[in-house]
Amino acid sequence: MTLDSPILSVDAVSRRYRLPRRTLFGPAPRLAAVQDASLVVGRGEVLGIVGESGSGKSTLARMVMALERPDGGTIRIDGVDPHRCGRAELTKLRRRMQMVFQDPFGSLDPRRDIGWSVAEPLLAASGLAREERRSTVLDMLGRVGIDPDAAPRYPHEFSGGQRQRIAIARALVTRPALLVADEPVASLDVSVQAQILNLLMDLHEEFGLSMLVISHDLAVIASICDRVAVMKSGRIVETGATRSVLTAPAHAYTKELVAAFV
Amino acid sequence: MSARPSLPVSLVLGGALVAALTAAALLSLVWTPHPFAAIDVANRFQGPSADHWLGTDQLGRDMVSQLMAGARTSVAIAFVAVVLGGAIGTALGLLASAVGGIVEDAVMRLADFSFAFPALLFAIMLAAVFGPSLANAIVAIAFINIPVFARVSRAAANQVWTREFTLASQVAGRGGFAITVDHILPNIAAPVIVQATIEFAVAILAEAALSYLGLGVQPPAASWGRMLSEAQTLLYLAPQLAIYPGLCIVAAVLGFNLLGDGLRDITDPRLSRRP
Ligand SMILES: Nc1ncnc2c1ncn2[C@@H]1O[C@H](COP(=O)(O)OP(=O)(O)OP(=O)(O)O)[C@@H](O)[C@H]1O
Ligand SMILES: [Mg+2]
Repeated sequence: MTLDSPILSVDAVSRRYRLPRRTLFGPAPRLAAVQDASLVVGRGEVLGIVGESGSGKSTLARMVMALERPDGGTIRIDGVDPHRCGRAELTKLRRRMQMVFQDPFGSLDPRRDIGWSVAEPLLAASGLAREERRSTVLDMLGRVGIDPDAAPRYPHEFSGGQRQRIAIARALVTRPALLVADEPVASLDVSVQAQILNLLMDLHEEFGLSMLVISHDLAVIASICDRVAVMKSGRIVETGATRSVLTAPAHAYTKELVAAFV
Repeated sequence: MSARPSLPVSLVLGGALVAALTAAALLSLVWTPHPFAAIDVANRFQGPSADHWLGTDQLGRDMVSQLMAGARTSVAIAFVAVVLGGAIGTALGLLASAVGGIVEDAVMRLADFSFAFPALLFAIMLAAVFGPSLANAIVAIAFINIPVFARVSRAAANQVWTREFTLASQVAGRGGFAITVDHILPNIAAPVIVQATIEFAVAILAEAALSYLGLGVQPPAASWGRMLSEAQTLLYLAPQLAIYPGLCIVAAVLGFNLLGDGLRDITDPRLSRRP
C-alpha cells in the first residue's frame, strides 16, 4: 500500500433488497438499490455523490460504513475490506472512518448529554484515560464552534445547526481519515447550510480529511467537492471533476440535473 | 404556575392511593395500634371504638393492625416479584431485540406460550408441587411477569433500534451489548416503568388470590387474601370482616392501575394531551 493509494475504493458493489411478497406463490420481488457501483476517493479528496431520492446513495454509504453487507463487489478502506476482515480489525478500521447523518435531531441520543455523545467513539476505541478523553472532547467541541461549557447539556437544548456541529465533532473526535457525510445539510436552513459546509471544508483542510459527501443538491456538491459521481436508479452514470461535470455533462440524466440547477 | 400543563387526574388519584398504601405498609414495620397477631378472644367481634378503630375479628385481633400488616405483605411480595420478573423479562426482551433472528423468534414464541395458560393457574400448580410458601408465591408471580416485560421491552427496544443514533453508535465502533446498555435501556425506561406499575396491581391481586386459596403467606403473617377467606364463613354474622380487606384490595389495585395510566399519559408522546 503506497501513500497515494486511495483511502476508499468501491468496486462493482451491488445491493438488492427483498421486498414483501405480493403473491402467495412465486419468488419475493427484489429491489436493486445499488447496482455495480464503483468509485474511488483519493487521500485528501472530497468526492460528491449526487442523485435523486431513492437512487441508492444512502445504501451505498451504509455499505461503506460496514453497517450493511453488499451482495456483491468489494469495498476497501485503506486497503482493508471491512466486510471480510476480522472483528478486531473492523474495530480498528472504525476509528479511521466516521459518518455524519442527515438528521441531527435523530443522530444524537436524547437521553445522553452531548459531551457523552461526542466521547462515545473514544469509549469504543479505548486506550484513553478519562481525563484525556474529556480534554479531547472539549477541544473538539471548541473546534466545531460549540462552547465547551455546554458539554453537560442535552441535544434538545440546541438548534439544528448546532446539533449538526456536535455530530461533526463526534465524527471527528477519533481523527478519522475518511468522513462520509450523508446529506449533512439537507435538514438545515440555507444560511446555516453555508456555515456547516464551511466548517466541513475547514476541518478537511486542517486534518487532511478525505470526504464522501452525499447530497441531492448540486449547489452543495459544487461548493465543496473536487469530483462528483452522479447516481441514478442504483447505478453510477457519470464520474468526473466537479467543474467539468457541471459545465460539460456527458450523460443525459446529468444534463437534466445541471439544466435544473442553473 | 398555571402555565405548566396540569397533571392527569388518574396520576394524582393513583399516586395518592399508592402513597397511602406504601405509607401504611412502611408504618406497620415500626408501629401498629395493636400487635396485629395478638389474639384476645374475650374481645372478639367488637365494633369500631377508640381502642379498635375498625373493631376486632373472630379471634379478637385488631382489624386496623391486621390491615396494615396485610398491606406490608402485599407491597413486599408485589415489589420483589415485579422487580424480579421485570428484570428477567426486560433482559430477555432487550436480548431478543439486539440479536434478532431466531433468538428473537424463540424468545417471543416462549412468551406467547406462557401467555397461553392463565397466570393464576400456574401459581396454583407451583404451590401444589412445591408446597405453599411465601417464596413460592413470589416465584409464581415473578414468573408470570417475565413474558409481559419481555414483550413490552422488545417492542420498545425495536423502536429505539430504528433511530439513527443507534447507527451512529455502531459507526462509533460500539457493540450490541454496549449500545443496549447505553442507549436502548435509557430510552425504553418509561414504558417499562409504566408496565411495572400496572403489573404491581396484577401482583397484588395475585397475592390476594393465592393467600385466599391458602397458597400464599402462612400464618401468623397477615394477608388481605387470607383475611377474606377466614371471613367467608362468617359473612352473615360479621360482613365487615370481609368488606375491609376487600376494600383494601380494590383500593390498591385501582391505585396502581390509575398511577400506571397517569404515568403513561405523561410519558408517551404519541398520546398527545389536550391543550
Ligand atoms: N431496508 C430497506 N429495505 C427495502 N428497501 C430499501 C431499504 N433501504 C432502502 N431501500 C430502497 O432502496 C432504494 C435506495 O434507497 P436509499 O435510501 O439508498 O436512497 P437515497 O438515494 O439515499 O434516497 P434519499 O435521497 O431519499 O435519501 C430506495 O428505493 C429505497 O426504497
Ligand atoms: Mg438517503
